[in-house]
Amino acid sequence: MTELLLEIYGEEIPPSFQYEGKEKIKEAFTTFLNEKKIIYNEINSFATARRFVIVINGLPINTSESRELIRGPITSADQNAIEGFLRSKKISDISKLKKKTLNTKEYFFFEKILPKTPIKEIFNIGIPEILSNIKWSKSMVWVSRKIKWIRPIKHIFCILNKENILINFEGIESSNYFYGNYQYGNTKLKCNSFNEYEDKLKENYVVLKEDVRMRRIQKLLSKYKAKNYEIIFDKSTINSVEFPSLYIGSFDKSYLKLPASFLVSVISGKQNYFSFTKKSNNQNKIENIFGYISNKKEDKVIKKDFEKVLNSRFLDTIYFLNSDIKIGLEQYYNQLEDLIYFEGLGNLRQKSERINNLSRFIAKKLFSKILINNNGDLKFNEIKYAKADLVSNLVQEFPELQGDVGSHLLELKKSSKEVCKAFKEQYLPNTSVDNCPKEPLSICLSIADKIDHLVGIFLIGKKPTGSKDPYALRRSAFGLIRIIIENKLNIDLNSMISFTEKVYFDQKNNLNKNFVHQNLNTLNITESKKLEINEFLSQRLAYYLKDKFSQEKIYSIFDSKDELRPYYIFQKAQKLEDYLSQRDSQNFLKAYKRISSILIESPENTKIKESLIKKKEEIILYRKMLETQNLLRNQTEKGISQFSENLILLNKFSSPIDNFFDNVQVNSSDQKLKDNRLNILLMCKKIFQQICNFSKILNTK
Amino acid sequence: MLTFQELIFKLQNFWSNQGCILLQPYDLNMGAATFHPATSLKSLGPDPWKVAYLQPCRRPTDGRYGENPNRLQHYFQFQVLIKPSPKNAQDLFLDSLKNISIDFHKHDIKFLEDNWESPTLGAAGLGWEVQCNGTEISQFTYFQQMGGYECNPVSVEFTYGLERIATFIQKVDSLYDIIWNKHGVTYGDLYLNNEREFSKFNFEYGWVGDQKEDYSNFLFEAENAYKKNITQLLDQKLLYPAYEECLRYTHFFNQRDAGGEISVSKRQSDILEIRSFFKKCCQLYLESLKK
Repeated sequence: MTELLLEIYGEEIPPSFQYEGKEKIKEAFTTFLNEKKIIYNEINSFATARRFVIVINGLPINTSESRELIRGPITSADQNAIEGFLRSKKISDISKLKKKTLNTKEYFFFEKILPKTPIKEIFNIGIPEILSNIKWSKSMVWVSRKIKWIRPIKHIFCILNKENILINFEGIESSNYFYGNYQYGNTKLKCNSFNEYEDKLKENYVVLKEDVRMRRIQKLLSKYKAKNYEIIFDKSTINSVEFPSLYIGSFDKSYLKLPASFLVSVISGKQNYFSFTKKSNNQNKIENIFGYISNKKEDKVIKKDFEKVLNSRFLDTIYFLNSDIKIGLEQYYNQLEDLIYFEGLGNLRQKSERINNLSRFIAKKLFSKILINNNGDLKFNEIKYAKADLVSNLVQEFPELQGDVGSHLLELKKSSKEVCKAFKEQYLPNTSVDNCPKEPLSICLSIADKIDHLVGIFLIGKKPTGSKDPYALRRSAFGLIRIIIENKLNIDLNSMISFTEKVYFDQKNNLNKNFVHQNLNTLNITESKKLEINEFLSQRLAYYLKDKFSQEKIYSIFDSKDELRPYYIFQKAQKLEDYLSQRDSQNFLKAYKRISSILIESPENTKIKESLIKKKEEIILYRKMLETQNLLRNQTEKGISQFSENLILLNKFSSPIDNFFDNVQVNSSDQKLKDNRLNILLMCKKIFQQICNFSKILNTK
Repeated sequence: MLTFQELIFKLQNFWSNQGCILLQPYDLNMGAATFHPATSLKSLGPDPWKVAYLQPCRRPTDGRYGENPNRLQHYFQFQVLIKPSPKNAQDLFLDSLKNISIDFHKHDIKFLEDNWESPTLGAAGLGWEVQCNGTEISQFTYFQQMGGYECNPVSVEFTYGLERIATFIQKVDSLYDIIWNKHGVTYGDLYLNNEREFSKFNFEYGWVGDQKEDYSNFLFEAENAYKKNITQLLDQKLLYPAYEECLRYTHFFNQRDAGGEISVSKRQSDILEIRSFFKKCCQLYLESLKK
């Protein structure tokens, strides 16, 4: 069977493009083969840091002849149309066309004959076309901009059954040899088949398949894993070389005094080193060793150099840390004045003040006993420094350490554990898999940070539109909702929105005239955006609940607009789900549905006349209704247990309603009687809806 | 073992043999050798161009008072620009490293994706950061855009970080210990005081204490003077003087940045403004080619 082997060899292909590259090339070849109706057995593609490879086997030596009829104009069409068709098919003689009737109309047809062609010829012309038609998500040009490719191509190797296929891809001509790993030599290699090709590559320090490269490293790491080390690394570090070798180096133990987050940033920053952690006393501790993937076989000199590089990064980090300690959070806090938080929303110092206020407000609502002192202030006055580390040297060097640096600086000053933790956790949850803060102070600070951001951006009119969300408001909202629900917090977002707006407006009215840069003070906020923010947060809450409950259920429990209690709504959804899973509820829903269907026709008079209520079943339902109405009216507490009890209450309506429908004729010929009965049912429905909007569940009006 | 000055000779020799014009450093402060008009302006237009030169560079924020063994606010880059990029660009580059005793057969040479962008120059390129045994020693970039204009043909740029390379070759722990010449003069002998004083100047002078207000006023006036000057020079189509003023203004901006004078939003708008000036320079340059 015939086998095509093509290798496109060039300068280093970034790991992030290797997968896209091999898939796109494979797709382009598959499409080509299908279009040409060429059968084949198997097609595979591979990528390394320097080459893309495609291998197709089971190809025919020649393509078989194929004929295809192409429809032209109607035979009665005018001369221009017919001549146009002839021209497009590159023939001059009309007699070469065939005539055929389709749906009672006669058309011209051109028979396209693809003659039997050697497959070699097809690839000879086809490959440059296939390659130049690939659409990359990101590509580059070099020399004279003729080719767009991921990175410059140096060489093309192409054989069809041992024989070289000559192709010319925009001036790059193929040859019948290939290269191994250039860092180990530059010999021209030859092969007759893909299997031989892969073996030759291996001999010359190239591991062609990604999974084999992966396994090589995993195998080398297994002895560390056996010693209970946890090792996290990005597979791109393995794909950045063709012959991945593992280096394990060490660094000075004294650096382990640095916080774990610092160590991870230093080790696995730009260098692509990776860290080793071990569990001890239920805590993950980073060890003073690191891993590194190199193109070179284990070598003592190289290893020493890797250690030296890491060491100098640690030195730099210690330098930054010492200068940060010397300057201190208080001074950095003052410098926040010079740093704008957001155009129109003042500087970061102003944001810090707002966050302090908001944290206090939330603490008072939720954890007054633990967090608030006798003066009504937060027990921890460091909270205002939460953003001060943003101007520190360390955060400028390692932006991902925001919060961690502030936390560490406080720790060194012997601040309480709560504040240190709160600083660290203020940006959580950052992703949907991050943990939420759980400690009271962390919760307050994290909520304050997010609500300040959300309200602020809405106040300057930059709410997200469509799929665009440049200020990550959806992420903030999602974090906010998760913190509230996961910590079971009974807090109303509406009152928080109002308070946050008040904080912004107060700040605007009392601008501190002593700020150095007046232009940074401009708080360009004007009117309240409460409704918009409420709507946005409600949507986000519904979206969050969508994973857990059906959409109908969620919308049936979103009630009043003057409150937005995410955790309460979450609980309601749970209770409703419990309720709906019981058999009794199904009977009630049936009864509810009967009422809904008959109420499509709305009654005239809205006042119920007791004198018109005569039949026994009618009286029973009416009394039940009045009784429930009174009960609901006297309910002062809107707790979740009340909601469950109310749901159970509904079950008692099932049989009265059924009896009513079975024995009382609603559509009476007496219009007054009919209206009165419809009004009783309408009243019932209104009461039910007060508890839960069942129409949403049943999808009725 | 190569001394620092031999390292420069070797690179000059190598690239001179490759047909590059050996230019001398530009006599103005700049953050990277790319700002030398022999790279920035010359990368535009259709004519072939091959150049190599040494360029002292300044990045005020990188100053460490001479206390950090790897960082400097004043350092040297060796720059090569070839247009159109030769087919064997990477091989040439690897040969040049071999020539300064960095042999890829012996050391771990890694090409890590690093897509270069200069917001002030309006330039973008695709390429790599080149690491030798874990240390970044060079940048290797194919220019795609300069001053917002497409580069056609494409130039390839090699930038060698000479201190890093010398530290590596000479196996010293601090760049101040780099041997400069055969008579034992070190990098520290020549530049340590320079680093100490400029760090003080960049981070402290004027930004703190009594001078703050005076200095603030001076900076404000200087900024406006630069902008006015550049605009007028561009209007009069005096390309090279305008370009020099852009370089001065950019360095001035970097100095203020080091002093912590520039807020995030101001930085953004300043960068956009500088870019528009450079862009106009590139435009004038392209127009001059048509004449």
